[in-house]
Amino acid sequence: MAIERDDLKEILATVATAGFEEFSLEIGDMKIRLTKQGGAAAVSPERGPAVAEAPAPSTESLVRQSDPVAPRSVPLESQDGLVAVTAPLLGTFYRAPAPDAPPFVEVGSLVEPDDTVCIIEVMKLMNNVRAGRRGRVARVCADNATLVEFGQTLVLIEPLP
Amino acid sequence: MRRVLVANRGEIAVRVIRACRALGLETVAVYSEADRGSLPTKLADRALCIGPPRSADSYLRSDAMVMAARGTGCDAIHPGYGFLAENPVFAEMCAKSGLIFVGPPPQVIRLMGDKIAARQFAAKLGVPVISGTEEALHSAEEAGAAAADVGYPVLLKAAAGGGGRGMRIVRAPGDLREAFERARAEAQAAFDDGRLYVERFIERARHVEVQVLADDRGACLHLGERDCSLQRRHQKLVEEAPCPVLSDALRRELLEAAVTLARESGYRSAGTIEFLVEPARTRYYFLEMNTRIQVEHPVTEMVTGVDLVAEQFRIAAGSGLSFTQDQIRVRGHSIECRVNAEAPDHGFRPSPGQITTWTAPEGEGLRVDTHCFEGYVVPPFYDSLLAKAIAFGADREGARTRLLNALGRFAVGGIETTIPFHQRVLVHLDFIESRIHTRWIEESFLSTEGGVS
Repeated sequence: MAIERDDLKEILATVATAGFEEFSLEIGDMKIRLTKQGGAAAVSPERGPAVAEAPAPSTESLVRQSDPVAPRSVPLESQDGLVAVTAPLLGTFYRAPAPDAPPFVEVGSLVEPDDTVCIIEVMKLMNNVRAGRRGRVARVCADNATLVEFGQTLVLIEPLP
Repeated sequence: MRRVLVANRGEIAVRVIRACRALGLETVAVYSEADRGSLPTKLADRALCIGPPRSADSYLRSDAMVMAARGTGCDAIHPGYGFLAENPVFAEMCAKSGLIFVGPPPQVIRLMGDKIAARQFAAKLGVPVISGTEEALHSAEEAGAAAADVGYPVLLKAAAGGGGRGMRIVRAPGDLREAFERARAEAQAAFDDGRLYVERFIERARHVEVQVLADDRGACLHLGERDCSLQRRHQKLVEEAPCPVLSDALRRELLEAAVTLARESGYRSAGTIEFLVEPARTRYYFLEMNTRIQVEHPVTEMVTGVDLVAEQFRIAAGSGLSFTQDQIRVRGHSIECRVNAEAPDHGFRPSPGQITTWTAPEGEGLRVDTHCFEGYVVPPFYDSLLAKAIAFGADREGARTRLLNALGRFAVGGIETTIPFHQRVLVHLDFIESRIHTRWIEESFLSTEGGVS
């Protein structure tokens, strides 16, 4: 995978608007390391052990692109500046905590990083999926009670400062 | 049975998908992020990403497999080999979720998965086992006493065994303590079970295994034997069928013992019973039973004409075997070479990366099972098997020359493979005359290779 000038621009733009202080990316032999002025390391490249503790999806996904394998097909930051919340594991997607309860979020809902946006059920185990950033829900991309794959985009969030 | 989840990757996933197609079954492939765009995901009717590259987070996730199967309307799961294939808890989980596990019942997987229990089971049926301990050893002292009993050299083995891990040859009492601690640590790390037992080590023995098939209508039969004596560090590299050195009498005994073991354990599906044959070829001993389809199953298919994976599906669907023992004929000879992404001239060091050239040989009496193609990136996370090159001949020499010829036309670029190693083995006089044993590659071939080109 070769990095073009435009790709680099997009990466820089992403990092500039994102809430972290330090960013590193490795693709093949190329390594990029960016630090905001006075910033200390704030982003860990390790995957969180559980859904609740997982780092912000956008961060995690950018880091994961350093794997020496086929690149992800799912766009994590779409061109209109929306950020994807992706499925941390394969399972059944639920928009609400119970069948008769209102959904966690609707299009237009304001979310804080720790807000649950949906649930992924795996073998009767409910895994809360958090927004991972502050913003407004722009789109819900999966149908309720359907199977979603690992890494599939579930919700798109328009980031807010 | 209508739709099958293929809970594996690589060449065996491709093999299972092809069998499903032949039977008119729909397929769902699963893949880790490292296998995105791999051949099985393209061949299957549908493909799902189940997790990140690490096996523990993807191919070993039984919950994800069951979810994927149920969420896509599958009624059966084929586990292939490795990963979840011999996990009794997974087989039980499938049954509880209303899914057909294409393999044996969980209790047989559990029995045979404990190598000590399997040994006792065989001994009880009157099948010879190598003299050794009947129970797990708790300390190096216990191991020392047991080793003195059976006599050196001895082999330390893991109760949860497999793949040569937790296995150590000990030639003198002074070496036992260190070997015991190392083997125990290795077994603990690999299987989360550090139990060891000890067996007398038989020098220059051959590894001969019997393919069995059993259904739930009472049919239990064998499809002849395979010789898998060519190994490096307990990993099979070349396999053939039939075994070129068995007398008819010993072959008959071996086959009968295998069928007895399978029948008495309540076996169902395809399975393999492994034996050790002494150099004098008058005695054989039960080693273990593998409750899955094996990597080297194609050599049996070549000489019997039976599609073993298709039979696994028929048995799992309750249709029963489509033939009887009398209808099984072993004809001709077949040899298989495992083409791995390894550098044979550099201690078989793994060689992952992008395949820039890939031309697999084709021709009559030739079969190549693979998931590779030009441009494919061999990920560093899994085993190194790229392809199995399998040749059939009217006799052993016919199969050998055909395979040698085929390997010469097997062009792989971008990564290192074991093809050159196989070419040298196939022309070695010891192989041609089949004067080989399980340690021949390490003790004889690799140590004298400087003089052989």
